[in-house]
Amino acid sequence: MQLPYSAEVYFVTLAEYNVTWRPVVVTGVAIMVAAIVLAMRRPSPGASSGASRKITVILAVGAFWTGAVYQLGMMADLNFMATAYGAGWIAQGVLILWSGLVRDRPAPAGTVHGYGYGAAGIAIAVFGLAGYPAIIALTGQTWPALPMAGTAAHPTAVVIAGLLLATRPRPPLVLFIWPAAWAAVAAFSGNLLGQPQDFSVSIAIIAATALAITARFRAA
Amino acid sequence: MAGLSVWPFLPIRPAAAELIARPVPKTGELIPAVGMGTWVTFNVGPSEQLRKQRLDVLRTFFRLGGGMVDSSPMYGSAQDVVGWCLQRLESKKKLISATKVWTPYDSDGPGQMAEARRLWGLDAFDVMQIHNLVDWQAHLQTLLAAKKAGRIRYIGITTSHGSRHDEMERIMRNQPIDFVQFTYNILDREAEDRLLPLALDRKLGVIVNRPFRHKDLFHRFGAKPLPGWAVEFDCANWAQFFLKFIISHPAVTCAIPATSRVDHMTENMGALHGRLPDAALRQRMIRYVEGL
Repeated sequence: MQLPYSAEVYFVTLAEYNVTWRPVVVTGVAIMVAAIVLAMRRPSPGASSGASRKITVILAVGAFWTGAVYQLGMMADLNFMATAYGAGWIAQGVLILWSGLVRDRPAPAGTVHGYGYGAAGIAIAVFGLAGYPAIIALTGQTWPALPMAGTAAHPTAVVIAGLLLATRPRPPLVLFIWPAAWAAVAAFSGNLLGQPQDFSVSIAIIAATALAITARFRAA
Repeated sequence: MAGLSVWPFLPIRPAAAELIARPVPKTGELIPAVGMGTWVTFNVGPSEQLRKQRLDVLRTFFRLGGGMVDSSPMYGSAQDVVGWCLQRLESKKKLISATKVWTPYDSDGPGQMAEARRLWGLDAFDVMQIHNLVDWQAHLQTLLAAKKAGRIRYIGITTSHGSRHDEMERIMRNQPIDFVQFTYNILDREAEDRLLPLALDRKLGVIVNRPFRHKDLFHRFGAKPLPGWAVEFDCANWAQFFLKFIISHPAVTCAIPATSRVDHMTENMGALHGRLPDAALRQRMIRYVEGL
């Protein structure tokens, strides 16, 4: 079994993508940082709902961009599976919006305080934001060949999974289905491309998903 | 095709400057026995830097006597990259174009072939194959019509990794095709049992994919010494050892190794020169690698 592209080609293509979309990539990282900061803030009366809506929109924007531009735009040139992946990411964005705005469920603001799962979720999100790109850098890649949260699939999936775990009240577990599926994709592709560092993406997402399920059962 | 030597039986020693070629069984047209695949290696997306590297590979391929280039819509941007390279080559005269139809919807077949012609910059393909036998009954009708209309010269079917040989055998026996493509190499020799003899019997051209098992043969044996008797069939490296094993089978028309490197392409194309192993040497080659 092989992927239709090599790791070398992926990183060259990613570098060109990051250069082409540099302002968006920078904005993507900035809004992901903002989402994490919003999630870490001590809640004040009446502020939580507004913060949660902002986080909802940020995560959805990250999912939409990853689906529409990273997958359907960039990766579709290399991988025939990118169309299906793009649809999955866009569906995830729709689910996040539905859950956060229509059902008004995710409220990550203030979750770190007095909520252990929140701290774990924030730690996982920070790993997606900074840890995973740092690991890629340690393998010898340099900017612009670094996947960044908000505009590339692996780190975006980790940040989303982490912030969903940090959410209170807890979001529906259906929101974890796509990140969990992406954990499998990351492990599979990392193995086939000879990129074992991508297992860290899988581990982070699986940890977030497992903790979210645990939190749900403990609360029940 | 000047400077080519036909190899209907083994062993034959061509003149040093001659290239080893095989006739397409149904027409006698000579094809250089080593071609080029594009799986993974030519799927480089829009990067001009990577495309220029592949242009060097393709230029080397033709300069050293190569002819058949095989691709597929399944290979991401590979067809686009092949076309980009062909546009920048001095001449396309040596090209023997081979690609595939790969869609579960028969109505998409004509459009996919038209897109392939556009990407490659060609009016017609030499070989159009049905990839992995996907919806082959419907696509075969499309390909027969395209052949009649002059947009295809030969029709083929493909599989790989040793899968679906039974179905391929049935098609080979009963359908009006010209080529088959499947996996055959010094470790994966299932095709010797039925497919290769049947291809000879039915006068079908044989294109061999995965001649190196996607690098696996080099990983397994590359660090081991080439046997001293490899000089008996003018073998200078492992790539030529593996390729000469394949193209010395009398049913094989063309092996299609893929590479993204000029030095590897040069090694591969060296297999087009010199002697080929006879049946006894082929058995010795098998025993040697299996004993490593």
